[in-house]
Amino acid sequence: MTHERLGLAILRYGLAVVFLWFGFSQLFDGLNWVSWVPEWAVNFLNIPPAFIVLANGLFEVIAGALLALNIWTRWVALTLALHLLVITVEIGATAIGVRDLGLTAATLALAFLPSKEGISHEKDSQ
Amino acid sequence: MNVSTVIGAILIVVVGSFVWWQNGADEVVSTTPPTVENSAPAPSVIGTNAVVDDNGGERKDSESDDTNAGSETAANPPPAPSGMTAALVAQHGTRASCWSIVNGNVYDLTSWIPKHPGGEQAILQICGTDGSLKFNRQHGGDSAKEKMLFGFKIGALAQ
Repeated sequence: MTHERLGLAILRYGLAVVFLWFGFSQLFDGLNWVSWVPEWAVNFLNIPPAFIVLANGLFEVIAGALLALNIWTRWVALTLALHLLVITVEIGATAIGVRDLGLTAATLALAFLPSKEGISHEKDSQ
Repeated sequence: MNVSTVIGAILIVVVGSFVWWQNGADEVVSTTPPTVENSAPAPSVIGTNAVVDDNGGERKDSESDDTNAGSETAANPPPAPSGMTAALVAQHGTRASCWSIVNGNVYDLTSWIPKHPGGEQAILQICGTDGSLKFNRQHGGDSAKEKMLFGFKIGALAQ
């Protein structure tokens, strides 16, 4: 394994753990996440905040699993980066927002890394 | 199946199990959104801090004094969360179904009662009533608290 592949694997697994943790947390303890649902999202989707949390949790678990399994990594990472960008903008310039900005950048980097380094955009892993 | 896939699968299982354990398996069921059988119209929720510091209110935990609570059953769910009146809110003045009015909106605070850092009583005091004064006294102008409160919103108070 080259250094590039090792670095990429660490980045991919690391981000996968992040999304899996947050996703499972929202599924298992949605109550503690509802306050994060922005008002505009509730008005736009016209569904209760708790269901938005569950849907978001499910999305993050699935996306995190795809990252962990290196399936469609590029597109999944791109989608997650956009997803995180919305969250980052919504949270704003706070400690959490800045942290999420870093995660957004890392996820976006994963989306743009060259496929020869092990990024999969096919159904099958590398 | 290669090593990468195996590692990924292990990660999924480990993280999922860890979060499950972290949240306590017993609590998982109770924190999912309410169903028709056990809830008010909309799954309420959240916030991280207190609503009221006033312990002098006359309203107490009124599981036994609310004669209307029993009218809503699994077969007879509460009405849709829109155009709510103060009278309707007053019917939800128990720990089992705690609605409150704050600044013209109706909130289902049922699930927040046991999680309220300031104690259950602070929330129970405003169940079924207009809690605007108490909320504003404690958290008025605090956008974070107001945002958290929004997570419980189930409708606007009908004029």
